[in-house]
Amino acid sequence: MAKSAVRDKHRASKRFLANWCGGVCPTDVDWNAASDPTKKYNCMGFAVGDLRWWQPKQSAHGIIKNPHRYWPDPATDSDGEALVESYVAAAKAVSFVDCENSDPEDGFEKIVLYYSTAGTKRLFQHAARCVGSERVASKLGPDSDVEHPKNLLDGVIWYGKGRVYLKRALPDPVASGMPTAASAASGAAAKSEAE
Amino acid sequence: MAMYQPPKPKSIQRVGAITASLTMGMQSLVNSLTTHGEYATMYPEISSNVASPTAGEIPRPSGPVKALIDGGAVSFKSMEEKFAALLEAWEDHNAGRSVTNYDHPAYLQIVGMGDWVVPRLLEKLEEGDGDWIYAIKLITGHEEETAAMVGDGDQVIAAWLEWGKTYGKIGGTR
Repeated sequence: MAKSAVRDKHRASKRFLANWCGGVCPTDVDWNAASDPTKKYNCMGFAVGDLRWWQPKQSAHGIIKNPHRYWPDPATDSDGEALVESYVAAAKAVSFVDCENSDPEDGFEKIVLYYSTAGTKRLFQHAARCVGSERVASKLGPDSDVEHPKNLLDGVIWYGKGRVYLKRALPDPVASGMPTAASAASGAAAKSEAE
Repeated sequence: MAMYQPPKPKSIQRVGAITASLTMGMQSLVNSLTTHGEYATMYPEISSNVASPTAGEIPRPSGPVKALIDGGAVSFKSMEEKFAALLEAWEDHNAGRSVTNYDHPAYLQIVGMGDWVVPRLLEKLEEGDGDWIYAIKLITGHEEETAAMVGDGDQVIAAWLEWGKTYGKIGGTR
């Protein structure tokens, strides 16, 4: 099959970024590292590490529009309105806590929730994982998940200007048996003494 | 269990009352209207009271196949083309969105395509795309998922695919 006949699996993601983030440089996104597009999970599921499509129930006169979507806690289900407060509560249900910014902190992973405003309401629009202080990893709706500069999505009007940062302690490497900088240093010292 | 009988619009009731006392010539005219007019599509049980050579057939628009896309009317050669264009318009709208919008005009126009589109929507479900469940609900009046299934995409989609097989809308001819 001719190469030109192979459909680019990231076509929708690229078109979205081109249409809404006019300043995208080819090097902004590493397409080789991007996932396949899927509707199995959304940005929120990707950000919190639970690969499902997290979205509050939407219903009209008792008819549920999205029964296939996941929401962790009925108590925070803002039926019909995706309020950022609901998403913050959902993230806290999986051990995230408030934090100030995306600056890296030892022992923590961080996420950022994007929201727009409508009157007094703050409407959730997007979530991403912080990668260092300047980059984030995003799942673009039903499309690919990609890593990109954190300000890349600032041009997407409906994502809004509001940001909420949350962090969660990473698994304890000692408890999980993973080598740490401290254990490596003490191991080296013990080896030195033995010699 | 008694079958639900939709209330007949007063205009239809009136037509029914009038036809009972009409002459043969007028009866012929009413037969023509109820067989080929929109009421024949909306209320097949009524139109079946008169001879209906098209009963059971999928109604097709007599003029060009059209849809409203990006604020303008667009003509298509076939229903398949119209469906594909509306699908693309809706997917473009939701690109990059993590909160799906089911109230978009493209989605609503797909719902408006009626029973003809249900097998195509079930094909999307077979691909794991549950976003068309709401459209199928609105078109068919069925609700297959139980309260316990809500939130479990795999279970909900499986229930609807089972419904599709039972009702012959999957695996049969379109």
